[in-house]
Amino acid sequence: MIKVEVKNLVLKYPIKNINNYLFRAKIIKKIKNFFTKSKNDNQGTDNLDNSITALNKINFTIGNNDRLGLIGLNGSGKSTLLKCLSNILPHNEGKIIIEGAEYLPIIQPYAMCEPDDTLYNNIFLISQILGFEKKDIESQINEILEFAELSDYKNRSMSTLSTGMKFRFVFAISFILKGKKIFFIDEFLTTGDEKFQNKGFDYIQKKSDCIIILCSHSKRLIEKFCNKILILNNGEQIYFGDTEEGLKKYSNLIES
Amino acid sequence: MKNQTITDAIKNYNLWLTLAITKIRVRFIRTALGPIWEILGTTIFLIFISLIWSKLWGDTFFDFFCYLYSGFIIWKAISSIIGDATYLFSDTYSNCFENININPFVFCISHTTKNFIVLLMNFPILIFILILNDNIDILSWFWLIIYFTLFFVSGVAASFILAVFCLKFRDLQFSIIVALQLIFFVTPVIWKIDQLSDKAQRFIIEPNLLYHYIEFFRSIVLHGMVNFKSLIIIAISTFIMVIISLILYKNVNKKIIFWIS
Repeated sequence: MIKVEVKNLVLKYPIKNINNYLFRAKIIKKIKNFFTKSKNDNQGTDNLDNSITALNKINFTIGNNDRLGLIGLNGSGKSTLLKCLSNILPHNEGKIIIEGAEYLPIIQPYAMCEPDDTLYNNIFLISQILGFEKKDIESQINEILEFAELSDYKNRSMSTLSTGMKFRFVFAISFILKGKKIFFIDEFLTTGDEKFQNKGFDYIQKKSDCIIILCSHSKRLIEKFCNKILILNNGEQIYFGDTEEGLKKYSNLIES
Repeated sequence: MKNQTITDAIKNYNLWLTLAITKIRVRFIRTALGPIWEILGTTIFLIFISLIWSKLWGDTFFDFFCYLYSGFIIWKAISSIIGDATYLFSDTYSNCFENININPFVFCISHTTKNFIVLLMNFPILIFILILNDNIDILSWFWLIIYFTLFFVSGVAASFILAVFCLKFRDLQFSIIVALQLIFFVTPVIWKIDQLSDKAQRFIIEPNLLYHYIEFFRSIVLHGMVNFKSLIIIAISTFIMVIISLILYKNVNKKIIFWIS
């Protein structure tokens, strides 16, 4: 039995004002503090960083074959939640329990590729960074290229690929290679053309014994693909539950 | 994908080797000679320098070339390890940090491996020098293995320390590059230590850790003997760097991602 359980998750994210790092900004702040006799001398000089609560009291549990859609306005914390689940960002409070299988974060994997290197070599590179075994990659490399419809591009450099082709490439690596059963997918997966999107998502739908958490702005995609939905707004959990009801709440949120 | 420990990072040799080899491959991509440029470029450069500087120092071409080559390849490896480490987390592998939870030591090992492989590419010329200096015995190889082990371990530890500090304090990236350029001129890479007075040697050369890395290597390659003073200094400094990097790792590991973004 595989499951993802999140209990009272809180993440505080440090926010930096880049200009505060400038030497002249520190000097100006010091002078201002001196003349205004500010009691809080640390502000703007030593204490450069403030933090915001990027995620506040997030709670949900999903199990085998659940497809959870994360939806919310820009800056609501969808990608941050995925990064928290993937252990990329350490959380401040609460618990994340992932049991029964290994997880795979698919956030922006093509950002990790070497643009000048060939597609073939990049498959090995990205797959290994994502935690797949070299022997598995070797035995399935042709299957990956065929699924991504990129067999002819095997020896071309990554930089010659369009965004849609990169999407196909990453999609094939993530889902053809075996070993992972929990997938955290960021919204970039919706950048491919509709034909491949359908092919890809049909492929995922057929995958049994797995959990998928998909972050997207597309109500159509979430309606078609997910059986559960989690709505986020400014880091707060608005709703977790049935997709149909959740989408109605989300529509109200957009209109309000 | 669990939280990786440093041991996991070391065991994950397939990944750090792939990262290192990819960086080397990409550097020479679309060239006809590929990595041969590494050995060719360095050798041609040092032959021409030796032609002139051997006359300046009143040395034979061959002696000066051996001296220069054995020092320069080590200096080049050290300066690449230090220089590239300054933006290892903030630039080179920042995308990886933002996409997956990997132990940062994977990138430090990969970075040191890359520079180590480039250093080893100079081995054909080095073996040539060893043969001509009649130092190609088992003992020399034994000391070279000891040296390269310490070099590699200290390279990984130093990379981590520098990468973390340069990530947090971005001014360090630039100041270290400037410092490296200055240190080159006070390190006996192209000039000889006996050209300085005893006092200058004591105050300029002896405290320079990079000198000991070069001197220990040179003593084996050129003279077939070991400079134990340099060996002890390298071993102690490696130990200290490893301890510092482990303490730093324990304290900042979870903060790295916030310093990147």
